[in-house]
Amino acid sequence: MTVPLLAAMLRRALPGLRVLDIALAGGGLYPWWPEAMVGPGADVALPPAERALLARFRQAGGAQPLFGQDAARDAALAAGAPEEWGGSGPRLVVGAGDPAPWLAVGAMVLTRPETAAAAERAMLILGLGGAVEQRDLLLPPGGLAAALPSLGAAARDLAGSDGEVGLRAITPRLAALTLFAPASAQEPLVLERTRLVLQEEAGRLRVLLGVLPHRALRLRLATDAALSAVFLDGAAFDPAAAFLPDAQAPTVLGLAGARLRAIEIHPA
Amino acid sequence: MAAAADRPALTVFTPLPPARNGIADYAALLLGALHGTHHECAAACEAWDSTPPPVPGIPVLDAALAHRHVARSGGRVLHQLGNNSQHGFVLRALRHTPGVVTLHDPGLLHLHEVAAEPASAILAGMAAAPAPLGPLLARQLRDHGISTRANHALCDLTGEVLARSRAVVVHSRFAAARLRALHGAARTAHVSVVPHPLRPRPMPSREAARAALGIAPDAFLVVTAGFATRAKRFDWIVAALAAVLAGGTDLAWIHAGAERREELDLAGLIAGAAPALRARSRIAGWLDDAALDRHIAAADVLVNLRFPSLGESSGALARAFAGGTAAIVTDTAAYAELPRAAVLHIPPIGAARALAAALVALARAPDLARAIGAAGRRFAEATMALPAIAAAHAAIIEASRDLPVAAAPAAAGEPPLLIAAPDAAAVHRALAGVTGRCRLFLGAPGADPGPAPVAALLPPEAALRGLRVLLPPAMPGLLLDIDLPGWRA
Repeated sequence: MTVPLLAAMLRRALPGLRVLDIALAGGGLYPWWPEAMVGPGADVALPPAERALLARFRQAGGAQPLFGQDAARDAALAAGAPEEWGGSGPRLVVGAGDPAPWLAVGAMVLTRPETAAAAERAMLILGLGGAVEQRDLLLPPGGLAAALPSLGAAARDLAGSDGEVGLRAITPRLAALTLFAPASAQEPLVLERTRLVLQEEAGRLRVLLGVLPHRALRLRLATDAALSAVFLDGAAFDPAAAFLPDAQAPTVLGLAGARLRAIEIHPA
Repeated sequence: MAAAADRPALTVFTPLPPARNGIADYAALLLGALHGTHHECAAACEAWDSTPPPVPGIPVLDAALAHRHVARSGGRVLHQLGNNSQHGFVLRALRHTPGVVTLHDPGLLHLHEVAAEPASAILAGMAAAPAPLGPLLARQLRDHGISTRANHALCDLTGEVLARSRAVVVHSRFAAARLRALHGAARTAHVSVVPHPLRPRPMPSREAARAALGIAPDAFLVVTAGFATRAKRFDWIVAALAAVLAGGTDLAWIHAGAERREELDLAGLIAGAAPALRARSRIAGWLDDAALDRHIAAADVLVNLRFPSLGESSGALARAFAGGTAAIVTDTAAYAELPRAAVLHIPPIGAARALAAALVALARAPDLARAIGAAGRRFAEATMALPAIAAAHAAIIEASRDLPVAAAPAAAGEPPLLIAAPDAAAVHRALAGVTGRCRLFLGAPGADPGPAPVAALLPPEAALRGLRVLLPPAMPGLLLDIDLPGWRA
């Protein structure tokens, strides 16, 4: 899974990018873009139990509802209101069922390659640690020519001397970027509590970590005291052990007995 | 016994000890008997961080994520549902992860009220109660905020549980018959009666229990148990005990349970009683398993009244059977099914006087109390043995695995448009079976209905979210945006 590499490239290429990730249930940029505004997506066909689970959570350390839980705020985001987007800088929506309304208000849209849209498109073919995936970056008119040089520079920066980069403008409205980076290009992920999607009740904390790469990972938990219980996806878990995340569902961490300050996610 | 790998997995949504809840104790007992014999069990709990695990050898799951375990492990599910706030997560879980439900308490209105269920769900359940009272009480609650004890007695909110369960277990024939009378034969065809189990571990001896509690061997000890609710008729008990003392028979009374002051001020009731009774009464508060056993084993008689009763069962009574302690019960509901030799029944009419007479008789004839206790134990050993109760549950779980249930609440989508004439009967027909958000067009040429008439047309559980008046020359009428709860009868 190449999301960590994709997030790193977009962060380098598009400084100040604000991200609305509504692919929480199926795999978006969160948690590799921890400051993203997130939501499961209203039009995602989720089993009722998964929808009920996600409805428990709040983002920004529990301070804000998810996208999809606050109709007024959702509408303001959809309309491109700068106060909700945190300014008028570049914007990216991940996991939009229909990209057109978002493109119409000037946002870029990150989609699966099969998504049809009459928009400028950068095909992003990324390889990391043996996994190769394609995502397409859809851009509003004129956006491709502006973004392509910085995307290429970011890719070359991440590839270093051991990786590979290819960049080709196929037409004025279509480009392809390939980036194959060594596994070492993936940095450990550090998530501060204030950026987490979480739910707290009766001294028990659930942390939604999103759909993690389907490879062995380890967690490092920073807390103010010893934890009395650690659960992973609903079952007791030894936090010192490596684990293989579910490839289809968001990982949920359960903690009790101490206040969480931060979580680090490392390759095992 | 089958190897662990051959035993099917079973996920049980339930509170467990140390939750202060008799159903938690029951569930721990049942889980222990099912696990390793019939199933490989996991307990899905709201308090998933309990340490050590409440039932040795049985893993605890976070109930919010247990549906994933169910999907991986074969889908067998058992819900333990009672009528208090500790079962809110069970009610929510059975909506999307259906299985067999052990329904410990009838009614469930209190559960809906205290478990933050939406008003629409409560109104839907009330409206589904037998007409005309159910819909009338629902409208009184919706329009005027009137909620009385009658709501709890008359409105039964188990319709959704019946619809969403593959099978339902109740503990008495009375409870099953009551459900059938309220919801009809078709909706209760999957209801089975499985008695409350007898505890397999030995109760302490009377002598050892009294020694531990500091109670004299020759004292006549009356014990009551559990949450001090209004239905346990402490008013009758206090009157009877006072009369017994006034008649010259000495006794001591311990309430082995917690108060529920929002419902009944037991301490105040005792404080207002005769001085002799005040001096001989004690409220022990919530007791753990072993302490409750000691109190019931030490007792000469367990007074275990319920009136009115909607078919509740009593864990304390099962303990009395196990310890051979004589029990006095109300001759009503599920208690009326108990053999006359196994307990002493007192009539609901003239109960205080009858209770006083029974207590005096037992105090004067300890052998009689012991004989009743022994008969109760024999009855329980024959009908309430834990292995047989566990086997009955396992059989019901297997037999019902493929039975259908009502669909889970629908996900958000384009609300359907329904059309009806602006009268209550037409609206009722148009909305039959509809759940969730919908738009309802009421064609009303020339009419000018305001909000009050619209509310009167809609079922009480419908939430009116928006209203548009459509004027001629297009289709004149009202376009209502309404929300109906996820389950409706």
